[in-house]
Amino acid sequence: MVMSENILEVQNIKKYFPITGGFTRKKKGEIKAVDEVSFSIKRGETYGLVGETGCGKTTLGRTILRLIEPTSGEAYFYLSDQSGKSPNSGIEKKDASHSTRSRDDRFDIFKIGRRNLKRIRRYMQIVYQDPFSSLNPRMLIKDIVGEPLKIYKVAKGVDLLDRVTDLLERVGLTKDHLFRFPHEFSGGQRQRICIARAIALNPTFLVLDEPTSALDVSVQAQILKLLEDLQNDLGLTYLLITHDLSLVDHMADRVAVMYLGKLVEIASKEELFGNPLHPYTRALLSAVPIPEPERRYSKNVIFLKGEVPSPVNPPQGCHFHPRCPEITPMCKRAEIYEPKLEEYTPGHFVACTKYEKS
Amino acid sequence: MEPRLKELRFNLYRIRNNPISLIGLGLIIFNIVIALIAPVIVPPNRPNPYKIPKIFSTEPLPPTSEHPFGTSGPSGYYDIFYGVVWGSRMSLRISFTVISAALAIGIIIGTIAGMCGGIIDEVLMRTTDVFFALPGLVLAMAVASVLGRTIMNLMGALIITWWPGFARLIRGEVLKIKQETYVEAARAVGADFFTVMFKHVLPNAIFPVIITASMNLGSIVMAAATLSFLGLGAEPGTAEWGAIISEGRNWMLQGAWWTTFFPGMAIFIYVLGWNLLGDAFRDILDPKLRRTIL
Amino acid sequence: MTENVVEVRDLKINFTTYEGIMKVLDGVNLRIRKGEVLGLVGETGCGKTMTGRAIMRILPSNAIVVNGEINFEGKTELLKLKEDEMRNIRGKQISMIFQEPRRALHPTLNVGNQISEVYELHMKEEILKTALKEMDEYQGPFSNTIRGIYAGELEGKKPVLKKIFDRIPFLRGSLNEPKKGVLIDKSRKMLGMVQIPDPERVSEQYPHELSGGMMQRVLISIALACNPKLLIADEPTTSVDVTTQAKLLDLIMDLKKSYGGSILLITHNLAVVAETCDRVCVMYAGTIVEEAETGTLFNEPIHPYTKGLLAAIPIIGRKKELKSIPGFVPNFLNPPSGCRFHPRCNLAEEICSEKKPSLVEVEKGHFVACHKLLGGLDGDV
Repeated sequence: MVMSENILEVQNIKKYFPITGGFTRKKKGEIKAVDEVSFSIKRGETYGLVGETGCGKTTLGRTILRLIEPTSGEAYFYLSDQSGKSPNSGIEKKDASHSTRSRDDRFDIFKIGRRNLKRIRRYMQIVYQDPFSSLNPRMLIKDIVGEPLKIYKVAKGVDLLDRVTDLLERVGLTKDHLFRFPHEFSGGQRQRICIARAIALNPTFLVLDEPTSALDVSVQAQILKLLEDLQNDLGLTYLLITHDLSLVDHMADRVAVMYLGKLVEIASKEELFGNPLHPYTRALLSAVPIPEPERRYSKNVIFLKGEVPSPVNPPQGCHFHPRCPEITPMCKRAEIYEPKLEEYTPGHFVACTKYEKS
Repeated sequence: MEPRLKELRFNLYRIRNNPISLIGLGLIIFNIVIALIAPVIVPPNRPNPYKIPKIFSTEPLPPTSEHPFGTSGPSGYYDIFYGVVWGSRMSLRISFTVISAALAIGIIIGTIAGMCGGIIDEVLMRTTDVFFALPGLVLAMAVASVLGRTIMNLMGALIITWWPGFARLIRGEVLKIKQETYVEAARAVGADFFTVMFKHVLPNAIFPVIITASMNLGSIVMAAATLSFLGLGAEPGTAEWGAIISEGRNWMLQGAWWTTFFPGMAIFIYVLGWNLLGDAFRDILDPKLRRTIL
Repeated sequence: MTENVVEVRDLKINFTTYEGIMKVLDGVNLRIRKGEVLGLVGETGCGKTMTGRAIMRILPSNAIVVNGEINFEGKTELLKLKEDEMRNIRGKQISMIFQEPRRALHPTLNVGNQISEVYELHMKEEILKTALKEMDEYQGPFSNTIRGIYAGELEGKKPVLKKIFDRIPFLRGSLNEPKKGVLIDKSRKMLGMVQIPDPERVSEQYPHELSGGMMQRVLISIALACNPKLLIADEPTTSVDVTTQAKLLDLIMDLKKSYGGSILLITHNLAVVAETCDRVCVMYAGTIVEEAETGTLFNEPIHPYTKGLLAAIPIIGRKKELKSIPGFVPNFLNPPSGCRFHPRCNLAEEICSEKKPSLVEVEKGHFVACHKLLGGLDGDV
């Protein structure tokens, strides 16, 4: 059986949060957190998703794993065993008739039933941004890391304890840490515990939601090294969600830039940093501070006017046009329709009227 | 289990260092001790130790060495000292029974409402509102007149009045905890609804409720005493502080101060003790106030 | 010789906690020169925030200053001042802006009032004088009485009439109106200086109606209202986005040029320091380990910790392997003996665990605290 090249394909995902209010609790408006996003991730790569606060990238990550129910759209996960054997034994046949799978190893994450979702979940895990709130403060570490193993009945008793110790050692902790509470650990250590929990079931796909934002510089380097090693050892695919462009430059293979719920540019890392097309990407790159003092005076920061608009009432047409420093008369038409992501050069997609071929 | 012991030691340290809580703890321990050794202090009345044995008298007598707290009546004159001592047992019985039952009902209903949301939440909460609106007094009167004046009925009426508060409280906590990241993380590793509810949400949501409950232990006795005082709870002649005060009311103006003073003091000490201890519990068990690191 | 705005000498601060005494600041030495931007860099928990707060003397209640002095403008010893004397300096001569503007602003006062508060506290005389001047054209009810009251206040007297006026609501309003007018004007001007668009409207708004970047600007305007000699910026851009950060830093640098004060920029972000600071102090576990001009620090770092930090940060456009510093940040309850960095240092020798190294000027303007670089130890720098 041929393993598909993509591990994840996402099409036209929308996640709108309703705003209810008033006596009758009628819907007053919607927060368009994710507004028709499509992309695909190749097996084994690190896919960077960049954007600033409120652009919807965290919501997108959680929706893909169906930890939040999407408003509409499709997400396909391609499952395959390292051994090449079909892992479908045990997956219920009934889902096949609903045409949620047209190929043996493809699963429509949003449409499968609860039991199959649970079976798939072990292959798609997430590491959250805040190590302080993603661990249950009243549970011991051994129980936190052991929970997935228990739920999926992978091990129990002494065997379970051994496996948990194994996982902790893999992420750089020791068995002395088994019987402790989260608040006894530093941020970096807690993040390691979260990573141990995420890899407990040998997943193939990991969503990393700002994995090092809450950590110090030297700790960040440790965690990044750990993540790189794990990716090599376990053959993981990463969706790296972050606002830190230096991190993306360091780790990612391909990058997607998100603004106010939409993807504005997708390219390989080299293309994005070397030849950014979308005005937002350019502004973002110019604003990143560089720890090299000599570059201080040659840097030209592109300042965006105004503030980020609210996702409740995004601007009509091109979401970025009110702040765009490169707005042209052509963009006036943007008030009526929005530019779609189009391939400008091979592998480099951008949603901007300036690059439209028509 | 070592880390949990460490936590316990930390909590005890906090209690030890908080003078208010020490006073509260002292008062409570005093009450419990008296309740435990009641049979030793005053021999119990058979067959029902909670019925104060009657003595021959035509009027209440002031405190003497034979009757250290004096006597009271007129439903049959009796020794107040006996009443107060055995009353402490009665109060503990009432408080713990009512609070446990109200907690149990409240937690079940509140947790289900909070976890399920939607229509179940609406239905349960509106029902709770209805019970909330029932005035305890009226309910107790109804129960007393229809079913009779017994301690069991008194406790029943109090339970019905008390559980809605707990239900609302825990529902609020459940809603708050449900949004925490670690709950979603549990779902991400495959936890189902019940695992999330019992292993993640409840253990974290339950603390404010426990604290409120411990503070309520005093209020329960207050409420029971009030109801007895109004003639709706225990019958006069029962070893229950409120019942004793109820009778003493008649003699107050005639100068027999002891008929209400001693049982009143007993209530005061009991309620104060629980309130202080409950305050201290709240300060100690609040996870945000612990171990402030720079 | 350039005068120092603030000079911190051998500052040692302990904290008493349940677990024992935490020796947080272990002899901090730093100098902030007039007109410069000094970066104070270190990781979480190294004590840099505490240093900033010590200069402002807003330490938590369980902090004990064990040793040291903080000299302001060469003459005033800040640690020895009485509280009301210190209050005169806070907000007026030395001010501070914080990491989370949302928590530093009063939630139920509008923005204009919060800026006015600073003027009312520190610039009372000037406000009264300006109000009196403007009242020359103002002929309202009681105007003469109000003029008299203001004049009395200026002379330091407490006019009886003022007390009466204060009691009666209607009169109190009229009494404060000219002052209020001046205050509103000044606040709006300040908002304009921090490049907030439409200051009239914004000054009526409440903090929760503003974005993070705007709130931080409001904080900056409050801090700079009285033209302080030193602005302490404690992680001012950590909680905002990259594009907002660029704008805020640009603003702070512009304002510094027009006001001419000094800035102590406390942060853990080395890149921000590289772009804004004239000189940098690197702090580790309660003490300064290296101090130099920015260019020198980044290009020729000497202390092993500084080198470790620089090796750990990814840089756009440079392909490098990130090297982390082994070990963990020390516990302040039982800090390592001697040099607090020695357990993690690959150059450590015996003397490093015995004696704490002091800051030594290795070359002009470049100070390092490390035994390996002083004479007496073999080993190359």
